[in-house]
This record gives sequence, C-alpha cells and structure tokens, in this order.
Amino acid sequence: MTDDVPAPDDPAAMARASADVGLLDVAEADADRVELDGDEEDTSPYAAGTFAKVGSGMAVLVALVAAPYAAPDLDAKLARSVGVCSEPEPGVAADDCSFARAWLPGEPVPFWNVIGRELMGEGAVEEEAAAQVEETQELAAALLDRDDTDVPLPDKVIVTPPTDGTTDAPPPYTPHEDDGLEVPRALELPSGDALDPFFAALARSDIGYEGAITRVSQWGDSVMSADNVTSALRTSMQRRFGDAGHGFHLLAPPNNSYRHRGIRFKTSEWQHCYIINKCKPDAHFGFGGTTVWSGGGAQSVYRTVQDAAFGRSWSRAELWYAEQPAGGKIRLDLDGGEPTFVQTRGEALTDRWFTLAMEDGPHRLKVKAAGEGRVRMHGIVFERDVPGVVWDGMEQLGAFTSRMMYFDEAHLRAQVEHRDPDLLVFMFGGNDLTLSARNVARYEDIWKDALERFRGPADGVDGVPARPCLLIAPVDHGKRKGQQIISDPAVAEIVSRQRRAALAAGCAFFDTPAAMGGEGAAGRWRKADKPLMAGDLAHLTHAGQKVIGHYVYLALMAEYVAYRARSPGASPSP
Amino acid sequence: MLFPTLDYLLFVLPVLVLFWAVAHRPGARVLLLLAASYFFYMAGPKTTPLPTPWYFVGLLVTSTVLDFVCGHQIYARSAAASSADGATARAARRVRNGYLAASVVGNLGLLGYFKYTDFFLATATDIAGALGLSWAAPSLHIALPLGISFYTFQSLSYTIDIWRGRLTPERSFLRFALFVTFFPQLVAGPIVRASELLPQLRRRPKLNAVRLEEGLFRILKGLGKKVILGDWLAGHFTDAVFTNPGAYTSAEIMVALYAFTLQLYADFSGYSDIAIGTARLLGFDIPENFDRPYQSRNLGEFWRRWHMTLSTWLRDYLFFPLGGSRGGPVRTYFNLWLTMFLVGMWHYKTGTSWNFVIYANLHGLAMLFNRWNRTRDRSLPVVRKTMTWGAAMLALGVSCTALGHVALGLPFYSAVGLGGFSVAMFLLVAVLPTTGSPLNTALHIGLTFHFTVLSRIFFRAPDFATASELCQRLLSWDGRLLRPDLLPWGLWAVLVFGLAYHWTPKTWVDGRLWRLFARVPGPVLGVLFAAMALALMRILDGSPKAFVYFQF
Repeated sequence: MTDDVPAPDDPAAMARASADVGLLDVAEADADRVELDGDEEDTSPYAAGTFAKVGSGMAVLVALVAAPYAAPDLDAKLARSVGVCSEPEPGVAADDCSFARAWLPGEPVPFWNVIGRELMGEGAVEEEAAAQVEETQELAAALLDRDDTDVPLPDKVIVTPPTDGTTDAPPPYTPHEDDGLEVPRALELPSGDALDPFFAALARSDIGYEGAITRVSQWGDSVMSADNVTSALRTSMQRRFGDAGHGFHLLAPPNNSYRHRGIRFKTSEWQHCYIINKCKPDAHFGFGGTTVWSGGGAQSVYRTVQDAAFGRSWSRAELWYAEQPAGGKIRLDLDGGEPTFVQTRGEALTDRWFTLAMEDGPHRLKVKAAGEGRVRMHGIVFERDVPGVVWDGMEQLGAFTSRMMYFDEAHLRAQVEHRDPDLLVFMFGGNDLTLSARNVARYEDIWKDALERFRGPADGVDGVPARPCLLIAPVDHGKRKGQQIISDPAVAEIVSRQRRAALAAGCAFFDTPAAMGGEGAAGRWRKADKPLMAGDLAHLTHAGQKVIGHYVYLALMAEYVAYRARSPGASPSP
Repeated sequence: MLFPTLDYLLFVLPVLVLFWAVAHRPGARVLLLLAASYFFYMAGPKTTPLPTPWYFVGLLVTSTVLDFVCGHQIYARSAAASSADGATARAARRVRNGYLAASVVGNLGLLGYFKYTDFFLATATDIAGALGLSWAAPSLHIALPLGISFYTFQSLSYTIDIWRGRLTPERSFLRFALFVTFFPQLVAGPIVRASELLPQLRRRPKLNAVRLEEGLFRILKGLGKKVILGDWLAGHFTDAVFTNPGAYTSAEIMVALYAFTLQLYADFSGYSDIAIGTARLLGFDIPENFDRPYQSRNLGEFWRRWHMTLSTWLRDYLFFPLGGSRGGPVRTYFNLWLTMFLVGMWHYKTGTSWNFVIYANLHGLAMLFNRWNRTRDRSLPVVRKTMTWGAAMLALGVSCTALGHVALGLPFYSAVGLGGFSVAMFLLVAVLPTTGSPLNTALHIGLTFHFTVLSRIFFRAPDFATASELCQRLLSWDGRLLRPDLLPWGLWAVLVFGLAYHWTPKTWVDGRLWRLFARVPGPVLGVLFAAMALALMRILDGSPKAFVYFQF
C-alpha cells in the first residue's frame, strides 16, 4: 500500500491529494463489517400527509392519461378542431390523428412478454418473423463481407464467336453456384420471352464472346441514392458475367447524395441543371438527367479504384456532350499525358459523343472546359473491352415518375439509342406515394407515357420490338401508429398500379415490398439489430440496399437460367 | 421492462401505492417488492428485437439460490477457519474456498456462456483465417438474458464480502432474493452491493415528503435526459451515421461522435436517475453512477466518475485482491491493465468482438499512461531523458502505425497519420503540468474528453469494418463541411445544450432547479409528468429505444 494515495472514503484527503487521482490510484479502505441482524422495531403506519403531495400528483397523472379514453376519438377530434390534423379526403386512407392515447387498439398489449407472447399465443408468429429478419440481416452481412475485398476479379477467357451461326454450337450452359439459391421473390413477366433479348446478350457475355458487353441502364428515385442498389446489382452481375466497366457517370453531382461506388470522382465549378427543376428550355437533360455547362475552368477528375474488386480498369471513356453554336473546347487529360481536345461548336444543338481509347488498366482522366466558348456535357461512360456486364445507375433524387416526361422526346431517344442498353430498368414510386388521388387514378397512364418516352411504343416500331424493360417497385414505406410501425397504405396501391402498367407495356415487374416480407416489413427492417431501413422509414440503409439488389439479381438469374434451359442448342447470334 | 413506456407506468403506479400502504409491515413489503420485481423482469413490452422470453427468469432464480446457499455455507465455517487447531482451520478454509469458487464460477460461468461464447467462437474463426485455415466456428446466436451483467456482479458481492468477513449472511431467503432482483436497478444498474442494500431492506423504508419529491425530481430529470438527449439524437442522427458512414463527410462523422458521446451519457445516466428516483420513492437509497464524467482531467478521474458502480466494483473485487498498487511497478501496471481491460470487455456486445478488445485496450493503456505520467521521475538528466523519450516516441509511433495498417486495414499514409497523431497527443499530455492554471485544467479536460469521444468509435460501431471505415474517414479528412440540412435546428439546440449543460455547475440543477421543483404543488406535478409523457410519445421513434446499456 503506497503512502501517497488517499483512502477512497476520506473526502478531505482526496481533495488534498494530487489533482489527477484516479479510480485505481487510491488505497484499499478497511471497511467496517456489516452485521445483518436485528429486526426493526417501528411498525407504525406512515403519517398520511407523507404521501399527500405525491399522491395528488399521481392522481392527476392517472386522470390525464385516462382522459383521452373517456370518449371515442376524443384526442383525434381535438387535433382536427385546432387544425393540426386534417380531415380525411374521400377515397384516401385517413391519417391517425389520435395523439394522446398511450395505447391504441391493435397495438401489442401491455406486458406483452407474458400476456401477449404466452397467454395470447403471439410469440410463435413473432419469433418466425424475427427469425426471417435475422436471416436477412445475416444475408446483408454476408453480402457486405463478400464485396469488401480488394482482390481483383478475373476476366473471362475470351471466346471467338461463330460467324456463320451454324457451325460451332455454343458451349452448354454451365450452372453457377448461385443457381441453387432460393429466390425470395420471382419476376412477374407479361410473357415467357419478354426478357429473352436481354438474356441472349447475357448469354454471349456468359460464354465470353469477344466484344460481348451486356448493358443495363437503370433510372430511379432516391432509393438508388449513393449508388447502393445499382452497385449491388453491378457487383453481383459483374462477379458472374465479367466486369466490363463502371458505366455512366455524371460530370457534376446534382445534389449531395450523388456518390458512385467503384470510381473516384472530384469536380468543381460546373453549372448544372437537374431535370426535376426543369431549368433548361431545350429539355436536353442528358442520359443521366443532369446536364452541365461552363464557359471555361470547370473540371471533373475520374480515377479507377485499387481497393475494390471492381472498377480497377478502363479501356475507353466516352464523353457525352452537346454540339451547339458558340460551343467551346473540352480538354481531356489522360494520366497526365498529352491532352486531347474536343471541339463542340456546331450549327445546332446536337447530341454528340467522343470516345477516348486507352490500354486496359488503371487510369486517371481529367475533363475540363477549356474555353473558347461554352461547353455543355451530359455525362461520361467508362467501359472495358472485355466480355461482361455494365450496369448504369442514374439516380433522380426527389423525382416523381412523371418528371421523366420533362425529357425532350427526340433527345432522350437519341441518348438511349446511342447507349443501346440490352435492358432498361426503372425504380420509381417512392415519391409517387404522395400523389393526389386524381394522379393516382391516372398512374398507369403516367407510366405508359414514361416508358414510351424511353423505349418507344410497347409494340415496337417497324417490326423492331421495344427494348426489354424491368420495373422494380418502390420499397415498403413505414408509418408510425402509436407504438407500431405499419406499412404505408399508399404503397400497396402504387405497387398494384405499377404492376399493371409494367405488364401492359411488356415489361417485367419485381414486387419489392413482397420481397421484403409484406405488411410491416418497413418496421421490421427498421428495428432490426443492424437496421436495414433508415429512420425516415422510406429509404434503405446500405445493408438493406445490398439485400434488395441481391433479391433482384436472384430473380433475374432464375429467369436467365430458365432461358438457357429452354434454348440449349440455340446459338445466340453475335 | 423499459422505463419510458406505458407498461412501466401501469406497473409502477399501483406498486408504489400498494407499497406505501404496507411499507411499515416488514414481511408484506418484502413479498410485494419481490413479486413486483419478478414481474418487472418477466413482463416487458414488445420490442424489436423481441425481448428474451419470460422463462429466462430461471437464471435469476438459479443465481439467487446459488449465492444464498454459498453465503451461508461460507459463513458457517468462519469460526472454524480461524481455529487454533491448524487442521480444523485448513479444512474449514478449504470448504469456504470451495463454496466461494462455486459462487464465482457459477455466476461468472453463466455470464461467460451467455455473453462471451459467440465472442470466443468468432475469435477462433478469425484466428483460423489468419493462419490460413478454412474453418469457421458455428455462430450460436445465444440470447443474452436481460441484466445478467448487472445482477451477476451484484450477487457476487454478497458471497465475496461474506468470505472476506465484511458481511454476515442474510437469514431470510426472500429478503436476499429481493436484494438480487430489486427492480429499480435490476436490468441496467447501478450495481448495488449487498452491504449497501441488504441493511436497508431490513429497516423501515425512509419515506417522507421531501424524499418522495426528490425521487420524482430524479425521475423527471432522467426521463428528460434519456429521451430528449438520448433517444432523439440516436433516432434522428447518430444511428444513421454509424450505420452508413460512407454517406457522410468527415466533419459530419466528427459531429456524430460528439452527439453519440452526449447520447451515451444521457441514456445511461438518465436511466440511473430514474432507477435512483424510483428507489427513493420506495424509501431506499442506491448509489450514484455518474458524476459529470466529461469534466474529468484524465482517464483515471474519468473512470472514477463514469459508471462508478461498475468501475469501483472491479476495483474492489479484482484490482485490490490482485494486489492493487502494492507490488512492484510491473505487477502494478499489469493489475491496472487487467482491471481496465475487463472494464472495457464488460461492454462487449455480440457481433462486435474486436471493437471492444481495442476499446478495452485503449482505456487500459491510457490508464497505465495516466499512472506513469503522475508518478514518473521528472528530474532525469537531459541527455538520458532525450534518448529515452526519443526511443519511446518512435516505438509508440511505429506501434500505432502498425495497429492502424495491419489491424484496422488503414492505407499506409492514414496509418502513419494515426501514429503521428498518437505521438503528438502523448507528448502534449506528458508535457502539460498535471496541475496549474484554469487554462491548463481546461486543456486537460479537453484532451480527456476527446480521447473518450474518439474511443467511442469502437464502442458504437456495429462491427469492425465500420470502425475501420470511421477511422479512415477521420484520418483522410475530406475537407467538406456540414450539409445545411444535416440536423433540424431543434437537434442542433439539443446537442449544444446537452454538451454545454455538462460543464455547468451541478448546483444549477441539483440546487436551483430542485428548489423550484419542490415549490410546485402536487396536482401541477401531475400535469408536468403528463406533459412529459405526451412529449415522450411524440419524440420517441414509434417505441422507445432500449437503454444502450441493456445490451450489456
């Protein structure tokens, strides 16, 4: 025992001691023995006045807690009468205006762990639902772990495709380890062959034919923010079919949430117009919905990544820009070498593209507005000259589906035709949950028009079928009701109408809320030990987005395997 | 059962009324409180994830019976153990030690199984992977019984104090069972020792108007802290950042760390306030658990102010029995490190394995530094001092760099940054005088505060990968500021107020605010509590978050 440390039960000594005497800097005190004997002697009742004040407070508290139950909907009526809650519209689910009732019918009973769980038999159902959520969490963790690697993916062995289509039959389909996985939710198809052109392209990439790049372009609202859902799909597809590049990227972020995985990106000084703001009279918003411009000095720098399995190499960069009167010059600096200049002056506003080829490998590319006029650009595509998949992600934060009608029709058609994706994917609907009843009633027409804007008439043009497409329904949204989180009733209506619109247009459909587990999924995903849904009950966490991406991937692959099975001898023509 | 819920209100009000009616009758009050405590443990509300099933109360009963029996058996041989006859004394001591071992092994064995089995299995998998073996231990997903980390330590204090001769056993099993299960502090502390609570349970509860009001005041304070400063911040900010740090800038992550630091204190100290207040309403006193810990000038003082009942428990039942600081320097430092390491590891949560190993070691090593800095010889010759310090700083920098690069997987330049930062902080704290001007004190407080803030990365991150990402995001500062809509103005106000309040004099709340509260008439208090309940219903995220420390 050291002499310089005070005993812990001697406050004066502690105060006199060095200022930094800590928990373990004190000496052990000799504690008096505590004798647990002797019975108390005073058993007289307490004076009544002892509890008067606290008792009166408790009585008032109980009265106030019980008061809202005195008459049906008393607190809801009060809320409506002072205007903090509105009367329900005809045909629209009413808001729950009750604000003062601590317990509402339908909520778990008090002392649920004994009464509800055991005496009312609710335990088994809840435990099954909890087990499902736990499985989903484990899946999310496994996916995150699987993709958190810097070991590069091996490229496919390149196979020369048959040129005459009759001699060498393609190799038979080689089953993939993912084929045995359970598919949580299957795709709904308007016909068995609705996605066959896409699967044919995928088969060519799968076999490894030279030049066989399968392109998928996906647009969606904020559910796709930070590239999480699209990167999940990109990762899964590229892991299976080959990494053919990052795909489409904007020149400047339209908002703080624009962030793509698998690429390093910095930007400065561009002016931009984002489609939902309808800020360009010519309605040329570019493939990604955001067009940028500068009179000189603005720049964007892109770099491959080295700490991930994907995005490590480029073979080419394709700049998407607008030729226009008084257009300026674009300067491209690749790896600090000799710059390349692209002249953008032209007679009229016209979409143009410029491809910069490079050796397949890691690169750094700077795109700069080099003056001599105003430069206007729509985006840049990074690809590789290897068989594989490219999955473009074009998130349109805050967009209603109808905002896609802001695109100039001819401009958008030219953009899509140039990109020539093998599959168009749409993931809108989250913002559409707030549509008025009138717009909900015409929701299928909104989708019909939007789909036609991107791919033309559903029946095709001049015998050429419309591009394959897939609608992914919005995720389940939650709504707080007392102690519970229930699914927003608007979700079921919107999903139902999206389904009809998709199938009518010849698109496949993926029911995301059903895949998540149906009614109440948002609440269960939110309250998981490692949440899969964010606190706003409308957006998924990164882990949740990984799961949804994986579910869509599994659904697509189930149909792909079925396609390969029913056409084993067919040689997909190059 | 959670405190800020309708369930607790429906439970505690009738229990209080019934208790006050029978408080003067020893047998009746023990029976009532015991039944209420077991009901409190079993009958919680529905939460997500689901609460542990009610039949886990069997573990509580097991622990209670085990320690009651062991305590009596140990005491029964106390006289014989100090007999003049050597053989008799030895035999008695063997039996006493055997019962003590049964109690310790039984209690810690249960705790170890339920709390640390998955940790050891995950660690075995990690080691196998590091050795190149493709073997993975099964994950058993063992449900953690509510409060086991607390009631285990609590009942162990009974048998250990009897063995040490500092306590005589409780004759009444029911009274002892009540000590173990006393509901105000059963599931998340404060850890109350047998010598503190059992004597009170034998006496007439101290009930008077002033003490009852004090109890209400503590409950109101605790509810405000827990829900406004704790849950609200968690639900609307910190949870999102720690779930997906990639979506936030470096500055926003730093703000989230400050917010979590406030949230953790408010959550746990708020719970302790409610527990202490409820006990006061029943006429009992349980120990304080927090003493404005962020005012600490060093880590030693911090652990004297934070979760005091746990840290003093480990000090009295582990550090001192190991020899404390009575041995040589090596033994003293080992005892210090082990005690603080176990304090840190006590906080382990399933799935976070290496996070808490790092957290525990950070605080353990910081305590070692604290002691060394306080006791070192500052009169060494300049040459020797320069050479010693130079070598030590080099070793520290290299170690931290290696830890960052190898263990945390940080890029090399970030790991070098970590090493440099560590050396700079070490030098700064070592150079600063331990006492001095208010500015010096403020610097010490600031450094200690920021050490706890940054170490909370490993406390809060849901897994090791996220902890590593958070470190990386802070070390590779992106230069971007806070987005304008990061937090609503109300949460900014809560954050600033909450942190600022911590450094205000305690008399502002415990003196002035208390005197104001005491003047409020009873019915108005009822309205005040009803208003607080309504506010909590609106603020809480559908249902309240379990106290952070429920996870332990």
